[in-house]
Amino acid sequence: MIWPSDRRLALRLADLRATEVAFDVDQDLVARLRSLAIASSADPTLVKGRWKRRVGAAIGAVGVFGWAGAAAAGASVGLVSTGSLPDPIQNVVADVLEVVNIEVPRPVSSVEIVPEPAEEVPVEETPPAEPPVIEPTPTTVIEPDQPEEEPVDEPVEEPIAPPTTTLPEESDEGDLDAEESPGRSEEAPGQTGATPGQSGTTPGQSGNTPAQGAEPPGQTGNTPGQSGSAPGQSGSNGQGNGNSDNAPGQSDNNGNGNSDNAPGQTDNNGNGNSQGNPNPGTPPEQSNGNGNGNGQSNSQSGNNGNGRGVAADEVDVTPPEAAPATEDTPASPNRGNNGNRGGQSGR
Amino acid sequence: MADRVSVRALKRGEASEWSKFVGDIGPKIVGYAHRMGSRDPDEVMGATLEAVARRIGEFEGGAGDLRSFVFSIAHARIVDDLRRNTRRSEVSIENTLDLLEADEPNEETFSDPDLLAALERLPKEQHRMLELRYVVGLSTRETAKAIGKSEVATRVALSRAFAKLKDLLSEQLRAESSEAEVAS
Repeated sequence: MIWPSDRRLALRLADLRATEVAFDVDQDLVARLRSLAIASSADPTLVKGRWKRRVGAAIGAVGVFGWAGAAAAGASVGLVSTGSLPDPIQNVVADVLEVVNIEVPRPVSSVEIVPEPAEEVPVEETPPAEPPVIEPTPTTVIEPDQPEEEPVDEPVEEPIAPPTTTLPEESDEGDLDAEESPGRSEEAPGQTGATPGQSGTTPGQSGNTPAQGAEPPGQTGNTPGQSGSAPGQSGSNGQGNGNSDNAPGQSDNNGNGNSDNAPGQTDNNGNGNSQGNPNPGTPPEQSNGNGNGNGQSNSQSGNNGNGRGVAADEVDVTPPEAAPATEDTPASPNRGNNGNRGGQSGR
Repeated sequence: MADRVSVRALKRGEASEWSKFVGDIGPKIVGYAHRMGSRDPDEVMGATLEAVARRIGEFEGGAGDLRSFVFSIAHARIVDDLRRNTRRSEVSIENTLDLLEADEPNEETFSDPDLLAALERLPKEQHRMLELRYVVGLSTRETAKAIGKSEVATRVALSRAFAKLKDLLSEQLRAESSEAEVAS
């Protein structure tokens, strides 16, 4: 027995090729295969063209999207610059653009209040005071039917003169030059008292209630310097000084309302002076009274409110500028002036 | 042989190259299909060449790679043919006669019936590898590419298939000798 070796077995396997029958090549088959091969070889070019089209489409898409994105960005920036967007979005966009140093308006609610130094209220130029008509010795006549406020016998508080309403030369006590300090009540009836907080030692000084001065017959200085603080503003400190030299027929009511609020908050100063000069020989019904109330308020908005009121039945001396204020204060008999609501703070 | 065929010329569709390629590879495909049990080797050959022509544009490689490519397609077609024949419940008379004639031993086509019988007893995968490696004449690497395995795995599988083929042939010889002794 001859066992098949590996080499012999491999040769026997190779001899099986001899069983392969050669055949004549069919030309139709060759022609068909040629056409198929050409068509197959043409595919790579189609693939390349397909890639070109894809690249072109991608570039076109990028262009379209870029154009749309630029348009959207422009519209957004336009809306932001005009502050037309809703507050939260406006705030966010403002924060984002702030990074690139582009300032856009923020919503009003988000604007921080920056304290500003108190502006000096320009002192109103008043014409030179006319020679005083009032007698230097005033007397106060109290009407029996009018509720009389008992003069508060309290120690006089040191006046705190608001810098905005007081001229330096007017702050000196006893300097009652009518020409230089308009509003001196004793010399210029009806003028605004420019020395707020000057307190006389006589009764009638009102302490805590600004401008709640003693009300002599015929004269009333009602709450000058009421500081109306804007809601939500810080609490105001009110100091009120009322001076009343209540000689018969005369009263000087000075009321100051100073509110030292939080920095930058409303600074309301109110001065109210009221003078009543009944002539000594004049009955109380014919008393002359001048009342002025100045209120100055410095608020953020910078509004100053001044109110002057003169009302008198028989006014002997009436400053020219006091006349228009009579609309607010209806005349009352036996009462001189009402300087009401001077210094309603502007908001 | 296919090594003289220019793949680039085939891609361009040159008629002479295609004639040479069909004349060279066609008989191999037919023999391979026949030995692998295909009932219609010519149909397998035509389908294989047609598939090669359709995909020649995507093919990258040399002549050896082209042979691996061709026989991988041929094997797929043979498998399809075998499956189609097993599913086919009704066949025509002509096909049946052809099949009967093909099953009969033929001196021209089956010169070594013992070897063919031993190959038939091998598993299909080992039979296929031995056909491609020793009958068709592909290298181990080309065989590996044709059957879709790694070269190392193909080498090991070829060794095992070859050893098993030897065992089958030895058993066959042993059986023949014992029969001869009994007969004598």
